[in-house]
Amino acid sequence: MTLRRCFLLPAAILIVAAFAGCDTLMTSTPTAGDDFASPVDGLDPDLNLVFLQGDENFAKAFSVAEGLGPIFNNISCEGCHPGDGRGTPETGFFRFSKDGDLLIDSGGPQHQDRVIAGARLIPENVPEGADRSFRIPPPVFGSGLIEAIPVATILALTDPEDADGDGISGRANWVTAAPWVPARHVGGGGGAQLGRFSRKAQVSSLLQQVTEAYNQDMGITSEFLPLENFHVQRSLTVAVGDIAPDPEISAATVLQTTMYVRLLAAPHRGKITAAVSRGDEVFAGIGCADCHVPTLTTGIHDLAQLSEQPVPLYSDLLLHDMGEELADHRPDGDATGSEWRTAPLWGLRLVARFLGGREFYLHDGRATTLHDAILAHGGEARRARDAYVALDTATRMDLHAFLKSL
Amino acid sequence: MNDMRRILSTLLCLMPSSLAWAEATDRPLVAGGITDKPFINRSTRMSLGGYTETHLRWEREAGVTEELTFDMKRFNLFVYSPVSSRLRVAAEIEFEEKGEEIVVEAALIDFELHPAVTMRAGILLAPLGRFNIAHDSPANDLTDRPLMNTELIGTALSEVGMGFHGALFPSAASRVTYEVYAVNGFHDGVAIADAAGTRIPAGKDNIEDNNSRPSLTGRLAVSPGSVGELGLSAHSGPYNTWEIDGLDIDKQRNLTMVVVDGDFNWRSLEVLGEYATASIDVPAASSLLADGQSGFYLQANATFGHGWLVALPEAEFTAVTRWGQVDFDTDVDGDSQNRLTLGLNLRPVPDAVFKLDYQRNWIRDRFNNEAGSAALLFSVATYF
Ligand code: HEC
Ligand code: HEC
Repeated sequence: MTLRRCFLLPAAILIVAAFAGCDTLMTSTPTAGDDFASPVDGLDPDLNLVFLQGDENFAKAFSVAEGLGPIFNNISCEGCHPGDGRGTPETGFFRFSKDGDLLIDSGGPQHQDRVIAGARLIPENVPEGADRSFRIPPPVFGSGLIEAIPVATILALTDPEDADGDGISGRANWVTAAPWVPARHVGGGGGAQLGRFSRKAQVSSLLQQVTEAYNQDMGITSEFLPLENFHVQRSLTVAVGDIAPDPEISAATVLQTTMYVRLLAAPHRGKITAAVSRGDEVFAGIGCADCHVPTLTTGIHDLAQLSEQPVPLYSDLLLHDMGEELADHRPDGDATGSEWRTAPLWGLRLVARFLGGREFYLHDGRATTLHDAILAHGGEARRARDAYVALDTATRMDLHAFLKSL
Repeated sequence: MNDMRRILSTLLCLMPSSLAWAEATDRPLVAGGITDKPFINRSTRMSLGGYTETHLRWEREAGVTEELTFDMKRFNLFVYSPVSSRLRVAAEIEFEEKGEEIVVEAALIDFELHPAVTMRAGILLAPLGRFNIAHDSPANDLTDRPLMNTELIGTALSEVGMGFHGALFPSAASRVTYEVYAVNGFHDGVAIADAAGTRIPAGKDNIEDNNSRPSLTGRLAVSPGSVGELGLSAHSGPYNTWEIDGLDIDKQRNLTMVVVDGDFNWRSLEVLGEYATASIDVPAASSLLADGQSGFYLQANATFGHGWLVALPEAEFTAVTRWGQVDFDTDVDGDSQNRLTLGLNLRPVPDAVFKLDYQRNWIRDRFNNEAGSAALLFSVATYF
């Protein structure tokens, strides 16, 4: 009796309290739609399993023994795309080349600024005189939806000669797919392929994007790209490298990770207040929506969740000349040194949440507020920017409220 | 048949019986063989003991159950043998997770040179903070060990080495103790074994010194009496291999840890804690590796209810609160973990304990994004 009163009772209270106040005491799940890392709705158990495995791959930090490096930028996908969102300038890297020459012999076209401990290597240097372009990691959610938008839908938005005279042209980046991307993949196969991924839409398939991320960003070789990233010191007579035999991961692992990224849903819209609705009208009214096209629609797809779905990405996925303001003077595929892919604006409301309260915008993260990001628009976007500058404060606030609701 | 019996008894009678039995008792079959060891004939007694602990763990992360499991955490055996009045041997063999991991955590020889100086050699617990040298589960008032011990020091940090320890008594009540050893130290694993970055525990178990240069570790503790004890300890030395066959392959890289520990008692209250800081020379080009780490815990125990349980006159309860932290990289805002644990214990007898803990973790990644996890733990631990 005494025992029960003195020990079991408080113990029972603690256990009951833990179960009852489960979410408060034992942590709660973030509200659905408030993150970048959730799968599209209603996957079957098989795809859930692939998604979970891919999620693990995405978070996996590679050790030296597992094949990291010998030169690399970061140790995991998640290390650059936190919460499957965008990264920071600390996680960005330079691409470099000279007049279209990828400078392979000098370690191009990507600058790996880290070497593994124990490999006795020096980090790469960007050679003098090379054109360089600094890029921070864009968000990766919604990639499957972007992939599922038919080529024709995107091409219908192009206006290379600015036939409608709105000052906005919009071009496709026609690129050559890596030969190892099977033709059945969107963007795979011979001939010119429509680029959709990365800052200048210079990558045509999700598989290529992910495989090269493993190879270039982390120094992880796979069955698709079995050779370690070239390092200038290789040309010396010293054999240098990591100790893990290549390929370091299987094709299946790369495909799982690719499938994971493909199945990531976009977050839900925030609350639609009166200010948000007014801002929505301003956004269209001053020409932002001419490039940041609110919604595109996917084509027929094997997966019902990606088939004929609206994609509220706020982008036309096309290249636009953004003027001297944003120029990197480094061509990429068909893209010139001042052209960039219209950055999708979905998920803007959650940027700070997955960057420890900080915000970084534009390809190089130079803007830390939406205001600065808009002010940096030039070239084809000059007219829209000037219209933004001319807005009175209240209207501008509405526009910001709208952007922060995406 | 009768003939047979007669022959046998004649044969037995013929054997020089007295001689044969004398030989069996005085001389071993094989000198130094399995039945001929010094401890068998020694007058002092060798002791065998140990402790064991089992958990029931329910862990949740961001609202999802990560684990609901029984865990046979440890079964540790102690051996203690006073070989002579000045020579002792002590050892601890640990079986973790149903024997998946078997470790000789300690196996040491103590030889008393002087009442204040004892030489120690073997596998010994690095005197890096008090918890590392005294962490038996029945004595630890919470189910889990402090974060700074699991993540920073790697308790149980046991190493191969030699050195001295002893105690001095400045006054009748007070005591100063010291331990100082040369040990093999850590190995390259500190910087390369764990993908998450610099992790000191990943450089443990340098069974043969990887760089032919010992590390030093020691602790000085002052105790004014039964009120408590204050300790200062350190561990310092090179952890990497920088030379092979006379050729330089890197520069010498050092790892230094300093730990302050304290334990104070006042009536039925006990307050204890430790603070650790580590500085690690890591290759600069792998700037993801942290060159500074730190951690601490602060714990308060309140004991009550002695005599409340009629059936268990020795029983008492302890209410426990511990706040712990590790900072995996002191140069960035994130990359850290905080933990609050609230516990309620019942010790039916002083050697055994039932623990019920609630644990809340706040984990920050390198971007300073916070993630939460929580656990409800029930465990039983006892010495035997
Ligand atoms: C070192 C940092 C880093 C790592 C590690 C990294 N990424 Fe990226 N990621 C980037 C950057 C930077 C870009 C944009 C590149 C460009 O514009 O040229 C990018 C682009 C992408 C894109 C295209 C997004 C879009 O908007 O078109 C996807 C998808 C992607 N990464 C997935 C991954 C996956 C999967 C991994 C792990 C296998 C990974 N990334 C690892 C930095 C990184
Ligand atoms: C001519 C096409 C065009 C127009 C018009 C345009 N933008 Fe953009 N916008 C872009 C491109 C291209 C980028 C990416 C630039 C970069 O990465 O450096 C971008 C980037 C942004 C970003 C940063 C997104 C991010 O994730 O970093 C914001 C915010 C933005 N635009 C808002 C607006 C607003 C508001 C307007 C209207 C005032 C507008 N844009 C008009 C093409 C345009």
